[in-house]
Amino acid sequence: MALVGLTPFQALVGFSVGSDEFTPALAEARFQPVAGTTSEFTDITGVKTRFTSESGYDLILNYAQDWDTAGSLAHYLLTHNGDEATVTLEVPGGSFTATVTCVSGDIGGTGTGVAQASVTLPVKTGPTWTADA
Amino acid sequence: MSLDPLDKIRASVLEEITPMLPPAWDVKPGIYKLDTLSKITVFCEYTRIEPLPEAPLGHARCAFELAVIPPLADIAKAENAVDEYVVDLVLALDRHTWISWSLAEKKIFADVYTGWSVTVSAIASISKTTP
Repeated sequence: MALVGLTPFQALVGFSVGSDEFTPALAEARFQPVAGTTSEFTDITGVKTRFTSESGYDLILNYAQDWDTAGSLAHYLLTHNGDEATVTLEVPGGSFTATVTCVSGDIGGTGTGVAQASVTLPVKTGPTWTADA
Repeated sequence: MSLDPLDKIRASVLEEITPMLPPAWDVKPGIYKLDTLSKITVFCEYTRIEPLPEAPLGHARCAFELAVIPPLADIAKAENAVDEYVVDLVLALDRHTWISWSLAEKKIFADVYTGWSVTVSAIASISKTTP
């Protein structure tokens, strides 16, 4: 049995939508799995067998709002609310690409806190892994 | 990219940090020594090892105190010489995949020189390299 080594990394490396990189806006960018449907079959002896489809994904973004900058992530999501977009998430070793449906995020916030927003974008296809050359 | 065993971690952190600092500065391991300073020096003191909860078996988080010391007695001159470069250093560390920073604080060393104490931590794997 071979021992596989591990190189952990600190999560946020790079995130882009199309050709625009939005990494400085983000506190979190994460593809989160969405469980597939499971059906159970119990045979006459009482043994359970579970069948599950593949999981899908949601793209979770926690970002800081910026309405002053013309091409900011906040403006992008507002303008493209409901449109599809190709996103790229970089990690050490390569990147993940996926097609997501844009959802507009929070506008405004609380008192003296930094205005931030949290969105969950359903992933239509992907994420697909491409290793660095 | 592979993580470093604990005994090599200080050298690796210094290697990663040196390009983030102005080339005229000196970078040295160990606790700060003020008697022979001729140029702005960054001392890297290895201070703490903590477990890494996300990968607890065989990995640790190693913390370092960087002492950024300009050998200038005048406080205003010392601040002008280093303040903006310390900001550059911590912002460069934001994008690093295994080194992070938690605080950069202005500090007066031995009541003489005004500089900065920057706390950084690095992810390391616990396996000693064979000598």
